[in-house]
Amino acid sequence: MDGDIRLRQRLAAGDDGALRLAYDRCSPLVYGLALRVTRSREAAEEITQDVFVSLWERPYDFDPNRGSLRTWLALLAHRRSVDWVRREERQRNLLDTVGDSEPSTLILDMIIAEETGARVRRAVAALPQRLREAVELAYYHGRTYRQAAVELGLPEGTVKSRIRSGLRRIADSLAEEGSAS
Amino acid sequence: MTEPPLDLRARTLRAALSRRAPARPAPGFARPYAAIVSMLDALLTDLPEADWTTIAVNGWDTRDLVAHLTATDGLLVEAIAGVESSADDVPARTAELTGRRLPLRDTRRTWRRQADELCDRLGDSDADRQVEMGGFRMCLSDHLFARAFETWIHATDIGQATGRALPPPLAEHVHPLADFGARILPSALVLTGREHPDQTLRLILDGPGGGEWTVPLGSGTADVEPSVRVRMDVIEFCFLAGGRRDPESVRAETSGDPAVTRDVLASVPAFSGP
Repeated sequence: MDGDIRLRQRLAAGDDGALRLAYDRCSPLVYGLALRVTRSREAAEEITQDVFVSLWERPYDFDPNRGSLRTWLALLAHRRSVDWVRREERQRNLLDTVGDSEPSTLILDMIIAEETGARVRRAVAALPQRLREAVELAYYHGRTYRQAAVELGLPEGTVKSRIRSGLRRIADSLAEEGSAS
Repeated sequence: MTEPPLDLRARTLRAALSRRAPARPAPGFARPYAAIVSMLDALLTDLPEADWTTIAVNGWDTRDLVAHLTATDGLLVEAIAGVESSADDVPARTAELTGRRLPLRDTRRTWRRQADELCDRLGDSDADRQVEMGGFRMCLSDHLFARAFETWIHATDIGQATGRALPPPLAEHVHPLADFGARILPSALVLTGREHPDQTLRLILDGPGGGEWTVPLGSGTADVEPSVRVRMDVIEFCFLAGGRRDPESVRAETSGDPAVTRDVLASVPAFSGP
């Protein structure tokens, strides 16, 4: 998107107006996403601040040819939120904390833009419950496959395959919606 | 979407600006320089130590290139204060600074601090002031375009050597640099012995920051109808002028006498340094 290309040039050029613009455009997305995953206002504020500081300090990490600024910031926010959740849980020592999965980029690409976000939530809500709870644990609450398996009382392999088929259905329903609109 | 708390905006901006200073405010003619300095500084921010000693160009590593920029910027700071310098002073001052082998962090900090100082010394009325630096007597605005240009070329060298693709500067910053390159083209032809006094060039540079120029191909004036035409991407033109493209193979559309357009392309890099 042309606007993002120029915005990144302005960030690289040290134009703080571009940072304000990026914040005003994308902070509800970043904060909302962080809040949804961490369920902590304090954590969501910290993550929002980190995400925009990092955009300003390392403007070259964002490559507009690979995706929009919204996608990039949503990815950063999601990654940091998941890290926060895992850290919290490790501290509480409730669960086995061996991380064994990275959030699928497929779902992240979907969560990104608000408009898509709403469609994803609809698609998630439409999933059969057994698939939905697995997807929600992994992607909205930042659980690893193993943690999700423990919480659901299921073998890890089953959880993995439920998440995979859940994601496939979401992708299919988004593709259908996309072609219908 | 959930609106973040209102005070988070101010807190976030404050945290960001304390980690990376914005481009130094400067009069219009020095803004491309200030912006490109900020671009290079952001690139150097978390350059791993190994990348500082990666050879970027002509046997120079990142540290040498930053020292070289510091040396040349320093001569301009002195020239503004009335201390003129010759062409020999540029390599001499560079050798002095690279020989010092400052710690990496100081190399960057010294360069950035001086660049900011340079911006601070300039006022709007300085644009046309004639200043002699490194053997070139030009108006101060042209000196600043030359500094912006060299900083950009070396930032690109460092980016390429360390695997980071830099975006081109903003169109409004590319344009005065391309314009500077077009304006010095007649002198470049004279300097390299490729003058065509009876001919005029129509130079068309495409892309953000581009434009069209009518350029006499020697020391004359541009009152003759253009006899040859060169059309190319503005960024490619700048890299050609910076000595980072081969005049024989750079992508350009030409029309008119091929011997003349070849001479034009061959002269564009005449003022490029190392």
